[in-house]
Amino acid sequence: MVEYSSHILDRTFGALADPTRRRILAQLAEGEECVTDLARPHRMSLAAVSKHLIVLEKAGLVRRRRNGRVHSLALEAKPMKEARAWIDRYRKFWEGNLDQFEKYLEQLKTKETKQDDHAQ
Amino acid sequence: MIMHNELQKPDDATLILTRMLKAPQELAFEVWTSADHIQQWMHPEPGMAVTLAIMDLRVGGKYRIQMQAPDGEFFTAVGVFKEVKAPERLVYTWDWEKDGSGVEFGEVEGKESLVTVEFLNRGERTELVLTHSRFATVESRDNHAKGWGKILESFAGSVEKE
Repeated sequence: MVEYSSHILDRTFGALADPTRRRILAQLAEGEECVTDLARPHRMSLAAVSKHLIVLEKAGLVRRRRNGRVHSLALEAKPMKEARAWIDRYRKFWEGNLDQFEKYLEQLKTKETKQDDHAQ
Repeated sequence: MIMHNELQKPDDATLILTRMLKAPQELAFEVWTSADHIQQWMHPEPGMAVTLAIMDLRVGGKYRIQMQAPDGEFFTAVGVFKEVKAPERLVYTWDWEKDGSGVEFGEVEGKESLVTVEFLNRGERTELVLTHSRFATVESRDNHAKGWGKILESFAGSVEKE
């Protein structure tokens, strides 16, 4: 009923825990970019930015494309879709349960009221 | 009667559902937590039945709810109570058993998540707030929610496109 990969999710959320990496992802949300362009707005070396990119790549949040010496990065939506799918499955599960819970509570209350009437 | 069933935005990878119940707080809490009552209502889909419910309602106590689908497949939820504050608040871990068909606690999938249920006193009525998070502790849920919420804001568009 509920299936998701917790291993991938751990890496995804680990990768998202850093503000620089979140900014990089926000840049990539605008479209594919090469590493040097990605590094420009950050006050850090190319090497430091590259390290962050590797973390994002390992988490499966970005995809690297090599064109000779130029490396381009693009956003990978799969982990986020997985998170969405997790929520959707549990939403269906709990909504079904809450409907039944509510119905059953009302039945109990009706029974109680009838017993009270009988007693009087 | 369903009063309302408001979905809050799931940006932080946490599911939040609220319901206004026409029942007092004590009754709502009791029906949610007693094994006998659970057997009567925990049916996420038509035709599903609770075949066995065990509730050791105390901090550190375990629960096991075994559900069976019409095709015979078992879905067995297990976990540990982290907070028990009758009649207003419950926090428990949530995992599925791999097989789930037995009568005793079995091997779990190991993908533990966290469920918080709050029963808010609204006089004759009770407002139920259910929070299900993929993170097994309140702290990690809140920490991760911060990063996740921001990121999904900027990505909502690109995720939808795929």
